[in-house]
Amino acid sequence: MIQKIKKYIQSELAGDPTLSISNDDDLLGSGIIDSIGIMKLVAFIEEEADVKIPPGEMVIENFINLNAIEQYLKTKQD
Amino acid sequence: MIYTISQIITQSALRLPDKIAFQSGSESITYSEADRKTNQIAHFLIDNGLKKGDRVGVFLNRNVKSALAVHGILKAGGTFVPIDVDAPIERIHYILEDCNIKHIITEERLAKDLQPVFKLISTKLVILGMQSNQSPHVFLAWENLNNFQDHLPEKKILSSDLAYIMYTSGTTGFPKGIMHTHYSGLSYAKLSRDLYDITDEDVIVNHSPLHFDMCTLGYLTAPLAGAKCIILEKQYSAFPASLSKLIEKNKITIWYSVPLVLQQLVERGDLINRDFSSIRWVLFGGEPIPVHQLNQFMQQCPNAFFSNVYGPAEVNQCTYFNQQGKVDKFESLPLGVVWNDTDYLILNEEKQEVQQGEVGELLIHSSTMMAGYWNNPERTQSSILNIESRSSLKKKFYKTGDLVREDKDGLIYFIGRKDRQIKSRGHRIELNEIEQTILKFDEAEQTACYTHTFNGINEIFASVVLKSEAKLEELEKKLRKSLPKYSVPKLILETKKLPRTSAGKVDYKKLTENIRSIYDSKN
Repeated sequence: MIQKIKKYIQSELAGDPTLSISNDDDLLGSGIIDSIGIMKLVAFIEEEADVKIPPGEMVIENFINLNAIEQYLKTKQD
Repeated sequence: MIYTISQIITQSALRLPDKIAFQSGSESITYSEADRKTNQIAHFLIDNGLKKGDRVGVFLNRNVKSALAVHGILKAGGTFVPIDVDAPIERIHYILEDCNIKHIITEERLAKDLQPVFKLISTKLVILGMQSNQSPHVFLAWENLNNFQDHLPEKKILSSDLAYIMYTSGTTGFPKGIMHTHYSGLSYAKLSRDLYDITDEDVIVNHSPLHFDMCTLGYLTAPLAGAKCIILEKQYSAFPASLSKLIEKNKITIWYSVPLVLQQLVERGDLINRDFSSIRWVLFGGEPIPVHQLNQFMQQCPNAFFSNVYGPAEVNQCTYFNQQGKVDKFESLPLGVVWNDTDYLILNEEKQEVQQGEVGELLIHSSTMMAGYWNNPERTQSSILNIESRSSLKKKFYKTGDLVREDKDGLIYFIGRKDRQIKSRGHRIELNEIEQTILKFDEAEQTACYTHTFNGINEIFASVVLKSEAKLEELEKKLRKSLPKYSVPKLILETKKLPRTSAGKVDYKKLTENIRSIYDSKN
């Protein structure tokens, strides 16, 4: 799942499929994902992982990097 | 008596040494520490050749360092020039050259964005905030500032000296630099402190990056009042639910943002679970706010007064409309009335005052007014009208380009623009600048830019007639490299020819109708 998300961020949000992103790279402060990007990403994750992300869980600590997204999704699937 | 911005931190440090001045993320600094740090920045700059009036680039994220940079530069007698960290290299390079910048304050995590600029500049630069041995430039890490003296440098700074230059969209395809003196900047800080009764008990949240004039409340007014300023990091703009948590946790008392942030909070801020009772003032400006959105947000802030703030960056703020409780009297909020130490005129095309109720251009004379545009005396002259004011003394009025109407109660209403300047997500953008930039590229034969509002956001569109065999993707790529992100059209349409009116002018009405039909068919 996290690989799919990474691919989506690279090609759809950053517009550069070759961009190197490691799992602890700050996606937000570095500008890879902006305010429109995060809406797209949430929609993508909801569709792909078949989860619902309520507004209260759309917080920085859940989306700051790929590790955080992975951790967060684990809590959704438990 | 305080008469320059450079005195602010020192004065507040004498009064409130241990109080937090600025906070951002996990970082914070007290007034006395901030005083010491800004002195050290000033000594570093002076020791490295800064002369009074020299421009210093500030290339920093929204954080505590950005506030220290501002006040340190001013203490050294320099003029600070904020540079948008998300701007394309070409634009950054243009500003550095236009201002003849030799000193830059930055931070390690932005180093990779600045590196390409160094290659374009052959003269020696002095850079605080990163380590490198790229010659001929001089570098110093933030940690090593402690090697510099921490007393206030002896510099004679006058209220008429330049304090900062803020770049904004220009009509010719190049940004223009708005010059503010210590006098105009400090006048803003004093007037805003007094209007909103800001004291050292307040906690102000700053949403604006330093290159955006709305930041002056957080960077100048807050320390003048001895308040605590929380500088929001960029990522909060994408996470309303995190922002609402921060407001509650830090017991924010004063809020100032563009309307879009309020809209996002209402939509996705998880407000049901938040307590905003600490907020006593909500200021918003930059573009009109839809009344229903404001009413929704008001329900969240039971104790707050609301203020619609208006003023082009050339005059800082100049009018306000304050309100408590639901808005039901107005379809759209008035700009309100001019604030203290400010005079206004509403003039028709013949430079005569209009009758009450008639539409005319708003002109402003104020202590908060700019000194002019940097390096651009013609532009400065054409933006100012030297005219007899109500006190029968000739005074300089800034021509805002905004068309307004005054009602019988003396309230001023925004009607539209005289030219093609627009607002999108709070950013001020000249459609002419985008068109001029597109036409610079080989691919484009003709173009027209226009806006249309979708989901409450004013979006930019462009139609382009391409030269034969030119590729639209190439043009889009180039455009993204030369314009700031917020100026890049949401959609560029390729067209065989532009629709024109019978007089041969581009028919913008047709173009907007076309874009509306495209979007309507999608939804």
